[in-house]
Amino acid sequence: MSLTLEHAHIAEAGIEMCSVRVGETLFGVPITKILEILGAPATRPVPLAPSFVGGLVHYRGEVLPAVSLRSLLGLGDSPERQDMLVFRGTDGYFGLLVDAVGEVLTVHPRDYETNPSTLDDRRKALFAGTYKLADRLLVMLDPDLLDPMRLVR
Amino acid sequence: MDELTREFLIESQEGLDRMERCLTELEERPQDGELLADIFRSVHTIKGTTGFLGYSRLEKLSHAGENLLGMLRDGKLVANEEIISTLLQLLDDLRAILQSIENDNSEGQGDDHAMIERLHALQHGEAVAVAESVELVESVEIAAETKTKKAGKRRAPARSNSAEAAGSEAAPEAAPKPAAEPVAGVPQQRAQVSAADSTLRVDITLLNQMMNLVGELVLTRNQILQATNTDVAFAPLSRRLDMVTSDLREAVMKVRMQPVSHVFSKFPRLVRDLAQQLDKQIHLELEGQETELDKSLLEAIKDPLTHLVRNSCDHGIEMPAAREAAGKNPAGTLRLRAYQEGSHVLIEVADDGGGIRVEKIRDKALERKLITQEKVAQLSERELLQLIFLPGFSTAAAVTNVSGRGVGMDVVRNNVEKIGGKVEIESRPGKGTTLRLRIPLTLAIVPALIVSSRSQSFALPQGALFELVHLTPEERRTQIEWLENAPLYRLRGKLLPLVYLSRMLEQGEDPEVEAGCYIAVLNADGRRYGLVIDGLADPEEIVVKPLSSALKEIGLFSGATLMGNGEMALILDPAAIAVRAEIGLSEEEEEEQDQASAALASEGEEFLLVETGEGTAQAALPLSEVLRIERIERGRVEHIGRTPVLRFDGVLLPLEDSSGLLDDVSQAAEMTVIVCREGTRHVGITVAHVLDVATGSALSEAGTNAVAAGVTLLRERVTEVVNLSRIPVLPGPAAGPIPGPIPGPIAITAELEAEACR
Amino acid sequence: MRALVVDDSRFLRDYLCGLLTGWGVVCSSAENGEQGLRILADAGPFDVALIDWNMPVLGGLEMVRSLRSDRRWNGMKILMVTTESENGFIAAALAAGADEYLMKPFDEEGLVEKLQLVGLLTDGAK
Repeated sequence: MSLTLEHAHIAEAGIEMCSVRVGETLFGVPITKILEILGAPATRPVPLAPSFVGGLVHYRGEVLPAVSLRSLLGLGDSPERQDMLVFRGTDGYFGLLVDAVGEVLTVHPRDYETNPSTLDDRRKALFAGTYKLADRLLVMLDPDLLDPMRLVR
Repeated sequence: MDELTREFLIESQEGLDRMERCLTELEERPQDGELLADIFRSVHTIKGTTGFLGYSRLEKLSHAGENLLGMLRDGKLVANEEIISTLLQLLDDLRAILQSIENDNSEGQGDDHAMIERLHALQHGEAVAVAESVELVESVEIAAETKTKKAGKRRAPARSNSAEAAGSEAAPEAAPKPAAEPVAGVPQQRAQVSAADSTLRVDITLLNQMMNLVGELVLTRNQILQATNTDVAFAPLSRRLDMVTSDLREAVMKVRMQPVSHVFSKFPRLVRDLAQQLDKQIHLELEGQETELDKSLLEAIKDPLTHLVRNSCDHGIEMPAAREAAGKNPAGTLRLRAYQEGSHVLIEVADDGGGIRVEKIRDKALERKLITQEKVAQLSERELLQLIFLPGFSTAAAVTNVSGRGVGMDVVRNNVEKIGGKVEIESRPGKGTTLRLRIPLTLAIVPALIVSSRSQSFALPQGALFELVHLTPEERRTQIEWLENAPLYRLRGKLLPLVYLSRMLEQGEDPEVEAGCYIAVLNADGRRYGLVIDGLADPEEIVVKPLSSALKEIGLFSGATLMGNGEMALILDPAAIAVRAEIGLSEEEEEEQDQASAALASEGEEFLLVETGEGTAQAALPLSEVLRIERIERGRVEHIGRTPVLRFDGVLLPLEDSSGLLDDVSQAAEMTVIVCREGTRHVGITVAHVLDVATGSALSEAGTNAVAAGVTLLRERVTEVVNLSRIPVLPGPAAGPIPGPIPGPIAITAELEAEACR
Repeated sequence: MRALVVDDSRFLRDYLCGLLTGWGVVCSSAENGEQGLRILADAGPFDVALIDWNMPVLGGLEMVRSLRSDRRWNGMKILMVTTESENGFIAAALAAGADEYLMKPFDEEGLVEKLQLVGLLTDGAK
């Protein structure tokens, strides 16, 4: 996977991760992949859309499909408005809805481990591995795995 | 390539385009001084500028042309067919060189000696012996009549055709007449040309960017208007912003608009060449050339339109002899017409040729296995005509080198649909064919009605909207009629099939609302239906935003938009909704003749009225297909798989049991089965009661139920006509045609009376 | 120095203006005689007008005649731009009041030479 290559380049400096929370889990997204973070944008549901679509979001004149991480994880709808990260996908921009965006953390490749074999298949397909932080785990997210064009297949 | 060379290429190509237009007009008016001066100047300019860049081939060739044109201009020579053909050839040669320069900055290897000699010889009035001797068809007449009818209005159909109808003799006399007409058009055309010269060329990507930015501005304005409408200090300012934004948007849109003449202008030449090649006589009429269309759209319809014109020349218009034999003018007419209708530009390619025979289409579609026999039997004539748009279809009996080069009507339709357009076809055998491209004025901004369903907003493009009907809660309960699970509304006496938007979008079950609703009466691609929605908001001009591919697959939305209140709305695609709801094509009212005859046919049709289940709505069976009404013991019914069957006179009949009478144990031991003829087989239908025989009227297709293909008004009650052909065919040997032990139509009156008096 | 270029060919207008502005000449252009006269009325006079022979609406010869019948433009030099096929017209142009003529195609030197001939450029000006 391309991630290992990236690790080689930044082995010593560490990787800056934007931490996001969904449910009880802490996730991390490499900040270099994030175009923008929108605080609690308005979403518009799309009838008949695949279940992972959390709605449409207005972003700089475009109407983006927003992927709901909660739906992907089978967690059910969030009671509150969610924050959104914007990524560049294979078919234009797309958004990722998360419960909350936290601080930027620096992680080190030496703390990285691949997905545990006990993880369910759905999560294995979505998670890009785990970083062991001092007090907890940070699940790595790779936007390429969350691209709607990929999820739709 | 440097800027000057590019400039030179563009200018020269424009000059040659103008020359081409003028040359075809010159055939009509060989002595028109202004035309000649125009043509001369085109070549002259090329010759004058080419020297600066050192293109010697171009210079020599254009010089030779200029000399000949000079003599024509000065009246020392009169243009004839041969001269015009040669000049057209010169035009092609010049174009080829320009193309070569554009490709690799060189004039290419070509020998222009023959052409230069030919041009020289013509100057001295010598008939030229040309190796590939162009056959001169003197009777070819091409008239590019520039009519300046106001776009948007339907043309009065009655243009006297007496001159044309008078036959070939009238043609020479008629020649001066077209000369008089276009003269009025000439100064106008000139004015356009010089206007084009005073313009500035702008990179199209910059224009697209401007359009996007203006779209953004429109949105922001809408939001500001909503936010400030209560603020006294801001109100005048935001009104001003509103005005400026509107003007700016209009201006930017205008910048992108070009008259369709940009595309039409190449057709006189094309048709002229095709006519010569095919030995046909084709008179071309161009109308509405000033109609404007967004540049990118214009670009996109160029090829489809060319294909349609080729098709009409090749397959549409018959050979002169065949036309004369059919009592027509030996010269066929091909009319290209552009006009605006609402937010669409319509472009018609109409010929007065042989038309399309639907039987031929049906046979071809079957032969190519594009459709099954069963399906074909259910199609109306109009639907049969649509088969030509199927991939792999071509009506050409033989593939000619004019059309039918593998590019089919399916490609035409795809290309047009790609830009949000539609292709419509009308054809009358012996009378001709009309193909109509319906193109949105602009891709970016469309007028739409904002509707709501389950408190979500949707934009409904106004192009398909015909009228709105409001129903109060009371009317909603009483005026929406149900035929099993198909809702219907009587709109001025005709049944309109309804589609509930909330159901189509699976927005959850109807709460038992005590609210009224609206029916948006839509006509999308000839599919007429009513869309039931909860509420309406003001119409808005919406900026269309494309949907991501992952969402396009839903298929019912053509895009999304941001509304003035900042909310997002999905844009509904009325045609896709109609198809999803299985709304059939409805006959157009314009087809008065067909309709009249159809009405006559159905007027006298008699139906057997039955109740298919206990207390259900009545259904109708065409009496002509009813063979027998049988009382049978329930125990006689057998099953093949899940299909109930009845052994009757030694054959198995499939039984249609739409109301589940067979499974209803509360029913008596005996039941009624109606035996009907369906094509070559016989089928049975279980009914609860036979009611009466009645004459049906105004048979109009409306239902979407599995068996109920048709619906009729019988004694003011909505009645389903049972579609016998949809009763499944039995598997295995039992399915074959029945040898015929069953007698033909029988007198059923006695049994009927007995049953009706139950 | 100010120059007016009148030519129906965009290419030639750009070419001429390109050369002239390269030397610091302020250049205006028109696509036919009528437009040229209008520009003159609005923004004239110019030091020199370079006028094409064959143009739609109002041709070069007519424009020269019109210019020379108007005393306001007396001091303006006029260069007639022609092609060799219009050779016979040069005399007519000069008779109508053009100061010089310029035969297409011409290069930088050719243009300088003619401008020098009408006294607008000195040897060192370029």
